[in-house]
Amino acid sequence: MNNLETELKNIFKNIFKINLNKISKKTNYKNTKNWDSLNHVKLIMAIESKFKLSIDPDQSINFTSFDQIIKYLRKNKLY
Amino acid sequence: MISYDQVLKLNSKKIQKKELLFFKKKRIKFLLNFNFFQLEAYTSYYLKKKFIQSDILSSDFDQVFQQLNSIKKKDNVDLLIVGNDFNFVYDLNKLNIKDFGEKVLSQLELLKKIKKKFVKTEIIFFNVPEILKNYFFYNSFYKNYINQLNYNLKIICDKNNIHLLEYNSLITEIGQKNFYSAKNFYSSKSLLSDEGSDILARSIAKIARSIFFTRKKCLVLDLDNTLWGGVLGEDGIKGLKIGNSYIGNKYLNFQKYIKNLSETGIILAICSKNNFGDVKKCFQENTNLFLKLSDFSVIKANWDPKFKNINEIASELNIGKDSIVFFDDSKFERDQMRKFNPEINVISVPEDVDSYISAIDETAFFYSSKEFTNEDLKKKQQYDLINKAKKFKLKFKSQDTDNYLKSLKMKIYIDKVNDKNFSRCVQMLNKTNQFNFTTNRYTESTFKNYLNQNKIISFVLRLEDKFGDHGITGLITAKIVNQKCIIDNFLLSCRILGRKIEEVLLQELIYKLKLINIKKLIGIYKKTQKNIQCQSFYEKYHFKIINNGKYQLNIEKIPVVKNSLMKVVHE
Repeated sequence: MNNLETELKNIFKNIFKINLNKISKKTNYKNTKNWDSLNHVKLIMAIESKFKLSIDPDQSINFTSFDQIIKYLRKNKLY
Repeated sequence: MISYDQVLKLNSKKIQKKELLFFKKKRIKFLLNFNFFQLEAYTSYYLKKKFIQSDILSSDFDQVFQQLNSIKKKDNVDLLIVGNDFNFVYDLNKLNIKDFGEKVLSQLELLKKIKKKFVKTEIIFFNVPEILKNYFFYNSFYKNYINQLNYNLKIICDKNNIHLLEYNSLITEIGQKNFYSAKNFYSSKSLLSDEGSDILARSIAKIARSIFFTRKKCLVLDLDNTLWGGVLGEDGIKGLKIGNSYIGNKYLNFQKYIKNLSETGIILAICSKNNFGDVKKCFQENTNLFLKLSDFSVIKANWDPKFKNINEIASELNIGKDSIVFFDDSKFERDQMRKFNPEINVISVPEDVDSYISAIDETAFFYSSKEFTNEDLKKKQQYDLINKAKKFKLKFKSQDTDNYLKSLKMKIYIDKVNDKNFSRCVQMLNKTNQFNFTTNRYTESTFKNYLNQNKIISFVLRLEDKFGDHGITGLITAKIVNQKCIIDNFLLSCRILGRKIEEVLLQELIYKLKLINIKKLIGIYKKTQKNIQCQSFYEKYHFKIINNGKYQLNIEKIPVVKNSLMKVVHE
């Protein structure tokens, strides 16, 4: 379980250029400076290639926070 | 292939390779008509792998014309990458392929102007892809038009020193289905899949490598399990895996590739732990070998450590160690080479013979995006001449230099820099390290601009001797400022050093200056790690030191002497 969060944290770190220890479940697009539309697309693609899955663009609009993404990945029984 | 999240991870890591820190970051700008954020990430990853640090300048996609027009000198762009695609980007039902072609050609016109204006900026331009195969109206008209267009693009690019990237061939290599990602395009206008970005970025990095680094000169190969399967000492000449049947054919294919490399001017050498006699016999008796012993300029088959042998190879060929590439299937040998001879470029050879060729290709050590010059193609011949000459020299005693030089029956042909020798001159300016006083580097366009200044004197030298034609191997250029002549570039190719040929070039310049009544000659020496041998040259020829690295000669007192060692011919 923790593994999933660590992996996702690393992706967040590389795309939004923030420290690992500043990433939590509460991290969302409002409180993250670099979370703009382009980085959002980068985020989706990085998640897709990391977890080998294809995310429906309609679905990806709901990815507004770290927690949301974790929930999605778990709900789809990826971990 | 490497995945996108992996690339992001590796890009955010700090640099560990020392080599990367030596060079200034290259400023790179992408101008494409589709979104390219993945391509950016992949490109900086592959550039780093090839020891190029990049600073990717921000630019918007699908505004190629506007951005081309707004490039300024202060942007200091080192590399401009320009490309267009129409698949997905345009509605194919409404696409007029001729309009598209016109658009691409007019972009190229703009690029030609940019190339003239900003001489330091190098340009990579994509050729045009084919239309999606599943497109309803796909027919041979499109195919022919695109082929014709790409042919024209290639010609224009070559003529104007723009590097053409074979975008079309890349797609052919992995297929349209893999190259494009419809999903990516519709969600974010980024046209390429991870795989497409990967292969395109590799190709960009390869061209960039050939732009920013000079081509390596020599490939040193192992024999056992490299040029053939099996071990000569154990399996015997007949037991080696080489030929037209399975496994042997893999090695045969590799040998053919190596032969092609050598035909583009790469010198081959053998460095193998074997008995020399066995190796010689093997090349004579095993008719399946595609490479012959005469294809190799130096053969080191003995039991000394390879890192020692390779020093001898470097000194026999008279080339720097950093222009040697080492290819050996044994990890032990490669590690030893890296440890004890770190200047040598070591290729990480894969386990499987199938991948040998791509391992060499990948490094881009021998890659050139330009057409090869005649000098390149003759190189092997010329290094063989040196070897012959060396053996000949052994017959003379050391004090006997002048007699030895006379017996070489040297003939020097002097000419100005002209269209015929121009590309060779640029090549020498960029390649020569040892006998080069100023090590000024030029691109074709900067050198052209330099020559177009007022009052430039230039001499090019071609050498022939009893062994054959050595080609164009020397250059001196000088400019006249305030009745003084300043030598800007003075260089000789390393393979003809030690023959007092430098005197001829200097004499030639002095003679010319006397004719136009110039009395002062100034020589400049800029010290580098490699040109120490030039240090005392000017003093030896009675120049007086003005200040550090600047020497002056009063020509009036210098007599014009006829050179007794060689014949000088003016062309």
